[in-house]
Amino acid sequence: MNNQEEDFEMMDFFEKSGNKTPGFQVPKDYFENIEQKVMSRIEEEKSKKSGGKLRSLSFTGWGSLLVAASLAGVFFWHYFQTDSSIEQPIQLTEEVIIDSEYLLDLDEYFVTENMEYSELEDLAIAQNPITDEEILAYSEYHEFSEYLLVENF
Amino acid sequence: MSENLEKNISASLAEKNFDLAFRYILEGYKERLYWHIRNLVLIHEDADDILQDVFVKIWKNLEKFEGRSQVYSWMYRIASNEALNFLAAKKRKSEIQLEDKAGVANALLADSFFDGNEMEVLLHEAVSELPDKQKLIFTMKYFEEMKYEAISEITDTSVGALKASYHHAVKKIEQFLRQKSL
Repeated sequence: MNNQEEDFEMMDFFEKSGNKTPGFQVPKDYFENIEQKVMSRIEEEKSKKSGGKLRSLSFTGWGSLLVAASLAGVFFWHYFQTDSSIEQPIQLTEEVIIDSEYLLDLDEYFVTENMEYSELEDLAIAQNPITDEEILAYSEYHEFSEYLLVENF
Repeated sequence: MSENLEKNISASLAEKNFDLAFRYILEGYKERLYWHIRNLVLIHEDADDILQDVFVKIWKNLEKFEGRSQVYSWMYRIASNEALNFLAAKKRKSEIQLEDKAGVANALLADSFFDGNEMEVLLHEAVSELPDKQKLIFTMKYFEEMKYEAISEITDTSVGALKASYHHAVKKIEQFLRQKSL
């Protein structure tokens, strides 16, 4: 058995034992109740919205008009603001991958060994920008990999 | 993902019946999104809070959903962002110091909705130490058994890069487990 097969043995343990659910439980009827909880949160949100509109309608006079105009401005600003977690790629708050190290690791784990050209290309794009210096460092570290780098990166 | 569910949601959205679309979403995705969040944040109470926030965000933004991606990938993206942001904030507050390897184990053991064995605690500890993207990819592939194509759409990452990240994550986890079992 080579190292790679040995490495996979431990993960196979989880697969074979059917140990996919990692010890998590939920309270009884949780999924039935969560719908009610969410809907009541949404009702609150709806009433906040309509409450805000009604209050702004009750203002009278110039001063009130100004206040109402400001509120409308804030409302429109808020409405057109896009939430940071909506329609955006996953935000990676902590990930720091130094590309050269990443490539060295990949090589160490033989990840690139069986990859198709397109996958290597994807990887290079995914890990952009890989600088010339990093490629040079990589190729110096693994002389045999020079061909791979020149041809595929 | 269920084809019928996606169809019903898409049809409701096309008719601009957002309330109906949201009911389909809530009913069809509550469990999947819960487990996705739970696998990332580990503790039930946290997952419960985040799940509610996620659904409120989905409801607030459903009218603005542009259909550039499938609904499920849009929702998973929101859920992933919320969970990862929560973890980052939690780490900043040092409520659970992820650097302290006993932190995750202690938090899990204190959660009355966790009854895993020692090996499962170790697995969660190992996963919690991964960088965000690897954690996300490992969770979706290993625990949620999602296809690379689906993960690719959610994370906006190529399948090749996902395979590499997953492999990388598995190696780190194995290394962690091996060290722990010495």
